Amino acid sequence: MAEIELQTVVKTFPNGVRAVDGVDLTIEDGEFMVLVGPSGCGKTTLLRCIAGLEEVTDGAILIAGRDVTDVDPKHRDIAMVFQNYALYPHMSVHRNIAFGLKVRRTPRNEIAARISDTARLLGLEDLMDRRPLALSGGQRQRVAMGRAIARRPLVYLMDEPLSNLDAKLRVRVRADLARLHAQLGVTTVYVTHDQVEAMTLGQRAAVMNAGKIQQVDTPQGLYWSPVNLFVAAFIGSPSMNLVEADVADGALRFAGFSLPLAALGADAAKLPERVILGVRPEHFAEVEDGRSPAWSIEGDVTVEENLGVEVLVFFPVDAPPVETDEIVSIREAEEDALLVQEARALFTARLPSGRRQLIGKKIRLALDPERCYFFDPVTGESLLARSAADELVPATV
Amino acid sequence: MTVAAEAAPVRRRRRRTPMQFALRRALDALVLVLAVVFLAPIVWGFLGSLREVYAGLTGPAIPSPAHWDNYSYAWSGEFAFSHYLWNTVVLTLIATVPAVMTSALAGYAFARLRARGRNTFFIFVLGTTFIPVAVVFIPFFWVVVKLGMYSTRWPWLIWGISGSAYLIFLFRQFYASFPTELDDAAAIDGCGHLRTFLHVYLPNSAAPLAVAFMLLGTGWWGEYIYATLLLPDQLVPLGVKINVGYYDPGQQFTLVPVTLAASILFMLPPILAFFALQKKLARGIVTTGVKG
Repeated sequence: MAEIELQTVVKTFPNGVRAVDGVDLTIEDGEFMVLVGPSGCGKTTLLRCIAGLEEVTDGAILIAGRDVTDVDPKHRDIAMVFQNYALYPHMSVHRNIAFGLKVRRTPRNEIAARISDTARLLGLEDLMDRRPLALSGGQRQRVAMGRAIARRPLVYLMDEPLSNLDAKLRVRVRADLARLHAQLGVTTVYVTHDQVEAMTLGQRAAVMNAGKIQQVDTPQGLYWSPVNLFVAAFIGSPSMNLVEADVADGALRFAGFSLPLAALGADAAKLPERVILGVRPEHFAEVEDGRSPAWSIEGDVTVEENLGVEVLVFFPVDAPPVETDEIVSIREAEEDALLVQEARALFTARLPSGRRQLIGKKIRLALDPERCYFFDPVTGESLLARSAADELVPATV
Repeated sequence: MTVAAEAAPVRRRRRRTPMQFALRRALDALVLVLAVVFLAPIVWGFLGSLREVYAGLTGPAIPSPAHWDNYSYAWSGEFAFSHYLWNTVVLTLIATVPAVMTSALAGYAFARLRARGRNTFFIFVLGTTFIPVAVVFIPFFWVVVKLGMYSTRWPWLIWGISGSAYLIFLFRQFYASFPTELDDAAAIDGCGHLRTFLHVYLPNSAAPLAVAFMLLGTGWWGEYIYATLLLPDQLVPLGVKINVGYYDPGQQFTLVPVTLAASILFMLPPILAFFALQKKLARGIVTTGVKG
């Protein structure tokens, strides 16, 4: 059993920054748990606390039922894969993998057997005499994995191990990692800022912001039932469209649109006077000419990105963009935009690709009330429960 | 209509202004003059070592014939050259090897260990480099005598174990640029600080090690004052003996060419070491930001 239990873990740095702020989390034996969040959210610090590379200010960490809060990294029975691989530059691949075993005084024949197994598993047989400098990024990544695997620890800790790979290789290695975890079944904690990695790799993912866990759930749970505005805005690519709306006179009003609340049924009564409305880009459906469903909005397409199978259309709506602390923290983590942000909120819709060109044209899009999210503008909490939908959104209405 | 392919843009070297050109030439000339100033005594000594054995300080600039036998005489005559050469090697090694090792270890500690007052202590260590040798000369002599180390090689070993503030600075700068993930990986692999230093840091320190060995080694190889003051004749290094010079008691004449030949032989090991380590030295000077 290699369950990991984090009990109200706090990490405050000497400069006063509270990087991890009372995290409670239980990672089941054999589970693949992803810690995901924007840069500076505390996910790597939390991973380093689990590894013992950072001293915990308060709280406790248990691995396989043993309190390891004050135990040195070498006695925690963990292995770690680092973002830049951290291979010893002066050692061959063979020595890199064997080093940890030698330090632990593993018998020589046992070391040879483990290295041989690991090399076979990861296809490293031909690289064993090479030094890290003579390896490609992908090969180094495999060696770093090999070093962890050969140790046969209770827990694997991975700190953004794919971030230095190019996009194509990342997709391949991601699949390999999933396969490897299925094969080895070792408890794994994986840190990433990439939500695609979080969604594809994690059996569960913990979304973090400002040192706190916002939500722990399966990837589907995070996508379909975000508990707050931060999770809703962070999970999903492109991000959820957000706009402030008024609830008045039996209608939801924003940017000059008025959507009848009757469509929400009994849920309508739960909404306060002011809400933040969220719509995922893939939950829009194009409205055919001449039709005008009650829950639909209109906009002028300013940008069109054709991705082959689908097209992303961007259109401004006549309302200011949502600027809550949560949204700003996500935006700060993103790379600087080329152009100055528009004063109006820019909506994105993901539509099936076709021969038509939408740029510069007016487009009407239908919204499914069951797939609209509502958040409290002050607390950011989700106001209506939403669950995974089985049927696809119709392409057109 | 045909369209001519656009010519590839030619990358032109930026043309220097006459002032820049003149400045560059003046700098070249200055470097050349400095090179001549530093090389002249060595060339003069080498040519002088080939003169006739009783030639003294005078004689043709380029001796003909060249008396190479001065070198065999320097090695075998008057005093046991090889004995004093061995003394020099021993003193240099016991003062240099421990100093480089302890300095590297201290540099690692200053670069990596989190301890209260670390930076203050580092500044204090650096501050010791500003104390002139003359100030500590007599106190040191007194301490050596009181500890019963006079006429022994122990002071050299103690100097060695004490390390060098300058080298500590050099290693600290080098280790501060090491990726901290290597420390983390070593900690996860089961290493403590000492093992991390010995198995991860030290094997990746060829360049600063070369710089440190050369800087300190050449200093101790040619060290004269402390050796004259503290050591008996049978333990003094070669430099002290050569300084006395080769002497023909029959003729009552100092054999300057032989003394010069011995000096050239004495200079050879550091020069050869420099050429052997030249690449690593250049890299070390670049990576540590230390100018030799």
